[in-house]
Amino acid sequence: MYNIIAYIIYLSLSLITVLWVGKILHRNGKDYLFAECADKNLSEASNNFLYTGYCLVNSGFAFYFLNTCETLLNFNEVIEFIFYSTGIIYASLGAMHFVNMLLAPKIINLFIHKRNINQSV
Amino acid sequence: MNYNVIAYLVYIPVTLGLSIWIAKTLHRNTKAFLIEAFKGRDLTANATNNLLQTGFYLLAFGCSFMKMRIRENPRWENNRMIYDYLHTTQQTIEELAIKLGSFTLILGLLLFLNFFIMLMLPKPKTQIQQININDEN
Repeated sequence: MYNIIAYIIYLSLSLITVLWVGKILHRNGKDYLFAECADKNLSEASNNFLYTGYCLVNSGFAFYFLNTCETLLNFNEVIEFIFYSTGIIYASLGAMHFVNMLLAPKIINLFIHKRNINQSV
Repeated sequence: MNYNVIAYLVYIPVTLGLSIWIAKTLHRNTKAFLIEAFKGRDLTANATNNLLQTGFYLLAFGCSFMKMRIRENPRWENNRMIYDYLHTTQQTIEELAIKLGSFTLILGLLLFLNFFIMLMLPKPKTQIQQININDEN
């Protein structure tokens, strides 16, 4: 019984933040990618692509992390499990977000550079 | 209602309040820096500021929740880990001191990380190169 309460609260907390933060990143990533990469269509397309990939991967990770729970015996363990698991989800979200912010413009600029070389030849 | 829950009820508001306060001051102060770096393009400065702010919130809340668990004397007993809870006021104060101290240290490190990521962001391209290449075909 305690397990079910823990699963419901944990899933709702982590999925709601994943999707909500994804919406914020989708809205702000448009301007950020357009500033870093000089192509408007490509930056919009890659922004949408990153948004869907982000939502899929992170909600999958949130679901998969539910598997690590053992049988809970009282409300103390329920609270501990909820906070520990959502903390791990948030921290991994933040780390991946910073890595994406640094690396995504570089990869997109690589593609633009290759495309320019191919078009000029 | 044991000492564990009391420790959690003290730890969570302090850590969340600290991280929200620092995130708001970061937001205000990086705004000026980014507006100068992007040379007047307010839209991109706002966008990168919001991105940095959400990243900071996620990392701060994540680290705060991950370090919240308090377990005394963990030991294995027939395939299950068993542990005690806190049972004196002295123990709660000691554990709270450890947790709050390590979290504020981590928050300071996150602050520096945020600042250095902002410095390491790639430089924005100039206006000349923003021609839409697909229109030529």
